[in-house]
Amino acid sequence: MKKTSLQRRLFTYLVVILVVFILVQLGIYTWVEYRGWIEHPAEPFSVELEEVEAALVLNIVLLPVVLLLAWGASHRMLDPVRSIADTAQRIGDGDFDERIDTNAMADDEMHRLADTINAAFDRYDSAVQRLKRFVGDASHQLRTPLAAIRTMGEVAASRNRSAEEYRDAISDMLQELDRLRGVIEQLLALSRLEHGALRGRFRTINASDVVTGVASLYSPVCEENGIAFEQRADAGLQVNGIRELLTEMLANLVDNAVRHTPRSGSIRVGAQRRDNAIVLFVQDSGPGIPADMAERIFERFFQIPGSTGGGAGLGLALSREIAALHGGTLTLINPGQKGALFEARFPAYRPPAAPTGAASPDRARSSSS
Amino acid sequence: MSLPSSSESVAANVLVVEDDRRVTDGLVCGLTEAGFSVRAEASIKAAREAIAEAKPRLVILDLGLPDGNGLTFLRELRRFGESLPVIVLTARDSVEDRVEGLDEGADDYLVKPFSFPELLARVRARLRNVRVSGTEILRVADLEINRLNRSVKRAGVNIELTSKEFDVLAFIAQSAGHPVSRDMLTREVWKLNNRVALMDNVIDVHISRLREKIDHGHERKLIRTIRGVGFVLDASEA
Repeated sequence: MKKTSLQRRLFTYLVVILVVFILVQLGIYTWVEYRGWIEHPAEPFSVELEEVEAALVLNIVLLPVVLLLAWGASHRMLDPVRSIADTAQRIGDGDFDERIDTNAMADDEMHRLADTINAAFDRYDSAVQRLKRFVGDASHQLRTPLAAIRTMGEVAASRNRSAEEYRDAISDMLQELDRLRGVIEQLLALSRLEHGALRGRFRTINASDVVTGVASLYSPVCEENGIAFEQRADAGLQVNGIRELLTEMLANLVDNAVRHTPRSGSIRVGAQRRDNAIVLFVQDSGPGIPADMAERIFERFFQIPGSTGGGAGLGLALSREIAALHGGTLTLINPGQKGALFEARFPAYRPPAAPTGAASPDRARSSSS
Repeated sequence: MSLPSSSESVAANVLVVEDDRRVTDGLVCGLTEAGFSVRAEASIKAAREAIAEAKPRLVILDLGLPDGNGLTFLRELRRFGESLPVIVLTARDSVEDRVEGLDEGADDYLVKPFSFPELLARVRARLRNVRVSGTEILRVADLEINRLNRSVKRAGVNIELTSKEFDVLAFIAQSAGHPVSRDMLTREVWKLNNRVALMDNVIDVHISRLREKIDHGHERKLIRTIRGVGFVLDASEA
């Protein structure tokens, strides 16, 4: 009966106030009569007494009505509370689509409370949805290599084979194991990033160093794949962060670019200042990313349908998380267009005093090859 | 593979303290094949006795043991001034753990799942106690790698390598017939701490270029891939 205790209390307060009010009224009447009788003892006061009596009677007759009204008012005032509690109960029971109906509510504190709670439920709901999808995808990505390893082992062990065959089987298993380890490492990296504790290791780093580092890793890879690699980093761009992570982010983007760029294509990697932000970008000359996938590619385990090879689909999710850790954003600038352009934007470490090589305006968003 | 029984009076030069039997079996087998005599214990208590008895020259210590934290044991070892090299194994990899492990006196630190070639390389490095820098010129068959002036010759002919290609080759050559894993290359040659899956591309390109330059046109192929394990430079196989 917890549900009514607040209402009872409210009602009790109203009743007490009412009774006190009646008593004060009576007191005043009595006082007035008493004073009149003192001053004019001879005067009969029957008439006035009758008036007092009438007033009293009226009060007593009206009392139940007033009490009823007080009960009703307290009940009504607590309507939103009941509604919130009921809705919360239903959501708690598993009906995540339920929300508190605020249409009927006045624009008051209760409305604000309900809005706050609804917003919290929204966040909770989307987190639950994401978690569900994540668990499903993760179990797939973890179980598939495990299944492969198991099958290979079982088949290899099921009959006598030559040393050569055993070695082959073991090698296959090791490679699959490595894939599995990759997924696990990436998942752990993601949860570490979400934690945010890494911020304690931030240093001031040069954006151009990050670009140069990634370029030295990937220009041989591009060369080998017949892809022209262009690197363009303005000097003196400073970001507060962890160099290894930013390198990993950019390397992820370049690795994707290499996989989606045909021979004799090109990849551009660079860093530049734009307004108060430092932008790291990677652009390839591949087919681009369909518009309806511009956001989904950042989801964990998302793979563009029909794409072959590559990892578990965690690279971009990781990259975005790295950008977020650094207070930045990572977005696909030109969905649906040829030559995917990814930009990571970070707050510049220093206010733009005198930027060397001012942001080149020629790098228009539509640039593609 | 069988564990040497702890009553055996062989002077073990490597003591493995690890409570997971599979891991222990693998380590004991691998290290024995690599020429070490190995003793394995599964608890701190047993390890304490083993150190007193067998006087190992190196300890491989897992941190999660049934009768206590490996770090406590490490601290205990160090308090008594043991200069015994200790390589710590752990499944936890946060930077803080690593720092703590090294603070307590671990000589080296490997995160599970480590690659066995890497562990072996670390064990060798610790036992050798001196850097391998003594040998400035490495020779494998008719391949000559000069680390002083960073030049490479095959059958007397100079070979032009990029700086990274040289580093990769020298690193593989230096491990003298033992395979080098991708993890090791990432850490030792590229100096990257966490091997992101995408380093595979980078490593493959360097290896294939090295093959092109070193082995192309020669009957004897020196750079060998051990699929699933890594790379080895050896003259034993044609």
